[in-house]
Amino acid sequence: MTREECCAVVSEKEMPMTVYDMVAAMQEKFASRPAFRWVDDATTTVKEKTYGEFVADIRKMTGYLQETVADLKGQRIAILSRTNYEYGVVTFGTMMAGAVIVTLNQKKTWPELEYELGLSEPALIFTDGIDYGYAEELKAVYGDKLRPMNAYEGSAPAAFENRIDPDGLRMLLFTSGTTGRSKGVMLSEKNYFTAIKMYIDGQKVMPEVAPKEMNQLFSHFTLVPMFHLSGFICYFAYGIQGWTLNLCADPRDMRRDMSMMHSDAMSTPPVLVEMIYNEIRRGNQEKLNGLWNLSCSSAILDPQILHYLVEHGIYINQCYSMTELAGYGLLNVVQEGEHLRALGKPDGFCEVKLDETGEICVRGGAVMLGYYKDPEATAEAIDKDGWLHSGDLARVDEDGFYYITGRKKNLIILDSGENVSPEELEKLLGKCADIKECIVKEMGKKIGAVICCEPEKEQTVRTFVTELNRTLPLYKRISAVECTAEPLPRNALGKLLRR
Amino acid sequence: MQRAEIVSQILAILEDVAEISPEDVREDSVLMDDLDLSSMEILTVVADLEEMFGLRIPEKELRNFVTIGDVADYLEANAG
Repeated sequence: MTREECCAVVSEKEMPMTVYDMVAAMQEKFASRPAFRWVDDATTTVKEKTYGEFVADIRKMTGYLQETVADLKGQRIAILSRTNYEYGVVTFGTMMAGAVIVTLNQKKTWPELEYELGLSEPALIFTDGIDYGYAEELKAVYGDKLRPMNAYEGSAPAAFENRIDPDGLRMLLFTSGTTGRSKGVMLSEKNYFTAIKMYIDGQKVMPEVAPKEMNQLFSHFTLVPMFHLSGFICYFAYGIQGWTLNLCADPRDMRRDMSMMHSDAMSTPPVLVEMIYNEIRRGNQEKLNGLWNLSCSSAILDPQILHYLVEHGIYINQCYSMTELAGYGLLNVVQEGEHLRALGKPDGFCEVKLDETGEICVRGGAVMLGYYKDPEATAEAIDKDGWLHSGDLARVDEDGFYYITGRKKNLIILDSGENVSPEELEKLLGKCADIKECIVKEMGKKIGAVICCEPEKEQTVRTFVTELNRTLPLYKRISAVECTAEPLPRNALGKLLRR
Repeated sequence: MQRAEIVSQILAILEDVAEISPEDVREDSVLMDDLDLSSMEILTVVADLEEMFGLRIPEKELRNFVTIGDVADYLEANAG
């Protein structure tokens, strides 16, 4: 393959604007290209599926649902699985059937998943069969609805038809709510195909910035999970271009998988940016196996780290976005100077403004349909004029670049890209009788708790936190505890101060 | 394998992955608090231990790893 072919980007005119057109283009234009690669655990060899095979499997998946689920249109189909090839098949087979795909974080605890499953009432749940600590509970409640990820394999392919209403509910993605309960973000096809314009626009520079010796189709190392928007959006950003996603199912295998599959780009929350920075700093850049493009998401990065990476040949995109915008937001492709630490500039695909309080607001095709079965929370997030309020405070410089200045919502956004509700953890801490009051907040990029208790109870409280952490997913653990005998500061209305 | 040997292997990996000096680590050190490890670093340490001890730790066991002692307990019980 020539370098030009490896990183050629679709023109605006050719860009598909629906799932149906995108899948049709995969078949018509890219059938022999590798769509997915992964390392097979049993044989430790790299496996591959082409776009042609992918489309055939999507049609089988649609066929399977048509055979299995009555009144399919609008039914919810859930996935509880780590990233694998079948994840994409189940997702697009569901969408092409006119049903609603629900991607769940399989590493959450059972009470959280029980709530999310209860809310979304799925007709079927596709699982990878791994016990994440709740296999028995899941089976007891949903046993008759559970299906393996490859259940579609024996089915006849469905007719290739467009069954998707562009403005209808197509996907539910859960995000942390500020009150402790997660919220189901309702997204439509139109949301995704508005958001994706921003990504495709950002990819236009690839032919200029790609390495001269490039001789393999542009590829992405997909370690971020598919239930997270920064992973999920890759299905569109790479599928539209006919590029390859290299899938890494388990972060424990990251180094093995990276060494076995060369990737050009990687979607990286701050924790991964820092890890890559450390590898380069320690003289281990060869371990990155030719990785040269980081798509940084989820939070603000240290400009010094970014400068260092650029100096070492890494091309950086920074994306400020949120689930409620199907990944749309601000994209920054600046590689030097002061603007390197900005969020980016509005690109015109949606309207972006700061309201009178300085909060970033977005209006247009990317704005979600609302929160599932929660009109109150929806009305809080989207005002009567259709502006989605992000909860982030920013300023704009004279060149039009946005810079984050603070957070309005009571939500901790971690370096791993996960959002955590302090109130949820405060409720759990409240179960310890020795804790008089507490505040959970961000402490030096991690989750910390300030706890008021009697000095002689401090050890008991710390032990309680350690035991509580055993019940929480890794990303949600309280990793710093400060105990004080003094009551925590409150405002004039008696509300605990968070800062 | 003796527990002391297991712990010393864990310490060596911690030093390699996160540049933490073995003198700063105790069995009751909490991975994310006392040792300031990120979730990604913990998984890297786990991956190195799996390679060294020739085993794969089931997903549901990973939740129990809060302190260095927890990791040592698991390896002591499961490593051949």
